Amino acid sequence: MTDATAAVDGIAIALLGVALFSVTIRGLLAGVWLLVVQSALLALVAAVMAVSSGAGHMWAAALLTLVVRAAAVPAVLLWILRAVALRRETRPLLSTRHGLILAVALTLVAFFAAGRLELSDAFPARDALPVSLALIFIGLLLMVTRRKAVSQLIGLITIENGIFLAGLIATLGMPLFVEIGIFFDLLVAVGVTAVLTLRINEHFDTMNTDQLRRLRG
Amino acid sequence: MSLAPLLIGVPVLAAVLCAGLGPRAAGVSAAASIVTLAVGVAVAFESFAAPAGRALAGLVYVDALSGLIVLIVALVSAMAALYAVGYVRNAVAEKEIGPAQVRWFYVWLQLSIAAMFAVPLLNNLGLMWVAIEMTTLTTALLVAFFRRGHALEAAWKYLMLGAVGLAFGLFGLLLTYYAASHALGEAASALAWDELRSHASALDPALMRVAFALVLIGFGTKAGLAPMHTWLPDAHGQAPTPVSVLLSGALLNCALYGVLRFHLLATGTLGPEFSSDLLLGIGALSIIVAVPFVLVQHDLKRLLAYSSVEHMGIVALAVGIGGPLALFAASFHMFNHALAKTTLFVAAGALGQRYGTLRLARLRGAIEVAPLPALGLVVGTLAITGTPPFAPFASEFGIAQAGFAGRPSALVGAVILLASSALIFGGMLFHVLRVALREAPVRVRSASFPFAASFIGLPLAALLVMGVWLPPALRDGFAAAAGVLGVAP
Repeated sequence: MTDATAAVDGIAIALLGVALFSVTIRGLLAGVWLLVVQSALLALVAAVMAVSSGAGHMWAAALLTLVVRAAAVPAVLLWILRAVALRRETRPLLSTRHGLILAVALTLVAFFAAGRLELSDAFPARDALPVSLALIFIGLLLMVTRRKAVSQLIGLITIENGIFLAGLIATLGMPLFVEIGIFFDLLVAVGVTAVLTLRINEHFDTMNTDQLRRLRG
Repeated sequence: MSLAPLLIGVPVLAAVLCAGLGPRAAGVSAAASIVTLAVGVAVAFESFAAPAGRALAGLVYVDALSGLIVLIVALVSAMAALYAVGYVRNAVAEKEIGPAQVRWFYVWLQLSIAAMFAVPLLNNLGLMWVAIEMTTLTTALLVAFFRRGHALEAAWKYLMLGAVGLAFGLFGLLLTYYAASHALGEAASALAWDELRSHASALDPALMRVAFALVLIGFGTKAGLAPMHTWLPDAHGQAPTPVSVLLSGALLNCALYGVLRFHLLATGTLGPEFSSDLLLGIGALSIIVAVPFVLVQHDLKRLLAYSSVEHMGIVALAVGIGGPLALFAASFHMFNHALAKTTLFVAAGALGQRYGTLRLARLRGAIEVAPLPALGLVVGTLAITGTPPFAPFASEFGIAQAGFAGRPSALVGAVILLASSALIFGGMLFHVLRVALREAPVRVRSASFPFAASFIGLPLAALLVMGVWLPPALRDGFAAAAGVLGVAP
C-alpha cells in the first residue's frame, strides 16, 4: 500500500500545481488544456487506486474519468471557444499576481483545515484530502474572479474534480451506478451551459458575464 | 406502490413523443400531465394509508413524506403543463418564440417534471442528488427559453449558483457515504435511504455534523433558503409563467425534501438539537431576508418569488421547531404554498401577457382590463399572506402556536414569523391592490387563456375549503408525513 500511497501523494501534488498554474494564465485555450491535464491526473489516481485495492469498479471509474472529464467535457469547451472565436480572459477582477497570492493562501487554508478534520485514517494518501479541498477553493476563486462564461465553467469543473478526488481516496468512489449518474449529470451540465453560453454570446455579442448585472432587488 | 415508477416513465416517454411529434407536442404534454396527475394522486394517497413501500428491487422507496411531495408535484406540474398550452400559443402569436421551438419547450418541461418526480421516489440518496441536479439543468434551459437578455442572465446565475450549491451537497453526500461505508460496508446499499435510516445511530457523529451542514448549504441553495436564495427571484421572475409555477410550487419543495431526508439522518446520528437548530436559524433568516425585498419591490413576479423565499423559510422553521403540531403544520403549509403560488403566478402571467410588462408601476387598473386574473391576484395574496379563513392561516397559526409552546429558540422563531408575516401582508397587499385598482391604461394587448379561470379558481377554492374544513383523507396524509418527519430512527 505504501507505493500506492506515495504515488497518489505525488499525483495529488501535481494536480495542485496544475490548478495553481491555471490561476496564473489568461488564455482560455490553455485553460481548457490544463483542465485536460487535471482530469488525466485524476484518471491516473483512479487507476492507482484500482491496482492497489483490486476493486474492479475503480477501473470503470478511471475509464469514465478519461472519457468524460478528460475528453468529452474539454471537447465541448473547445467547441464553444471556436464557435464564439474567443481567445483570452479579459480584465479578470484580480490581477494574475493577486490571484496567485490568494490561491496560495487558500491552499494553505485547505492544508490547515484538512489537518483539523482528523480523517487521517480514512485518507491513506496524506496529501490527497488537503489537495481536494484546495481544488475546491481554487475552483471557487476562478468562478468568482473570472468574467468569461468558459472560465467560470472551468472553475466549476475544478470544484467537481476536487470532490471527485476526495471520493476516490476516501471511499474508492461512490457506488458505480451513482458514479455513472454523476458523470451523466456533468455531461448534461456542460451541454446546457454550452447552449446558454452560445445564446448569451448571440444576444449580448460578448461572452462576458459582467453584462449580466441588470437583475437586482 | 407498483404504480410509482410510472411517474418518472410517463413524462420521459412524453418528452420523446414531443420531440418526435412536433406540432402535436402541446397535446402530448397535456395528456401526459393528466396521466401523471391521476397516478400521482393514487400513489400519494396509497402512501398516506400504508406503511413505507418499495418498488423496482428497492430502487424506489415511497413513504408518506415522499407521498406528500409526489402529490404536490403531480398537482402543480399538471396545472403548469395545461396552462403552458395557452401561454405558449400566446407567446408564438406575439412572436416571442418561433413555432419551430415550441416542441422543445414541451420536451424540457416534461423532462424536468420527470426529474421532479424522481427526487421523492428514488431510494438511493446518491441518485436523489443526481435527480435534483437534473431538475436544475432542465429548468435552467426553460428559464432562458424566450432568449431575452434578462432571462439569459437569470438562467446563467441560476445554473452557476445551483451547480456550486449542489457541489457542496455532493461533498456532504460523500462524507455520508464514507460514514455509512464504515458502518454498513462498502456496498451500493450504503447510500440507500431505508438502510441508512435504520443504521443512522451507528454513523460517525463528527462526519455527519459536517455532512449535514454541507447538504443544508447545497440543497438549501436549490430550496431558496437565505442567504443562498439570490438566484431565485431572478429565475422565478424571468422564467415563462408555466415554468415559474413549476419552480415555485414543485421544485422548491423537491429540494427541501432532500434537506429533510438528511435532517432525519442527522437526527438519528446526533439527536434532534443540531440539525433542528440549523433549520430553525436558516428558516428564520429566510423569512427576515424576504421582508425588505417584498416591501420595496418593482416587479410582480419578483414579489411572488420573494414570498416563496419567505414560505420555504417558514417550512424550514416549522421543521426546526419540531413536535407533532409543528410538523403537521409544516406538511400542510408546503401543500398550501404550492397551491397558492400556482394561482398567483398564473394570474401574474396572464396580466404580464396583457400588459406586455411585469413592472408594478405599469400594471394598472387590472380589475377592468382582466377582471379574473386581477381578482385571483388579490384573493391569492390574501390567502398566501395568512388571512383567515384560507388554509395558510391555519398552517401558519399552527407553526406559531407550536413555536410559543417550544424551547426558547422556537419562541424567537415564532415571534419572527408573526412580525414578518404582518409586514409582508401589508407590503404584498399594498402592491397588488395598486395593480388592481389604479386607473387603467388606454391600450393593452389581447391574449386568451383557455382554462386560466380553473387554474386561478380551483387552487383558491381548495385553499378556502381546507381553511374551513380539512378533508380527513388529506388530514391523515399530512399527519402521516409529519409522522415520518417526527419519528427518530
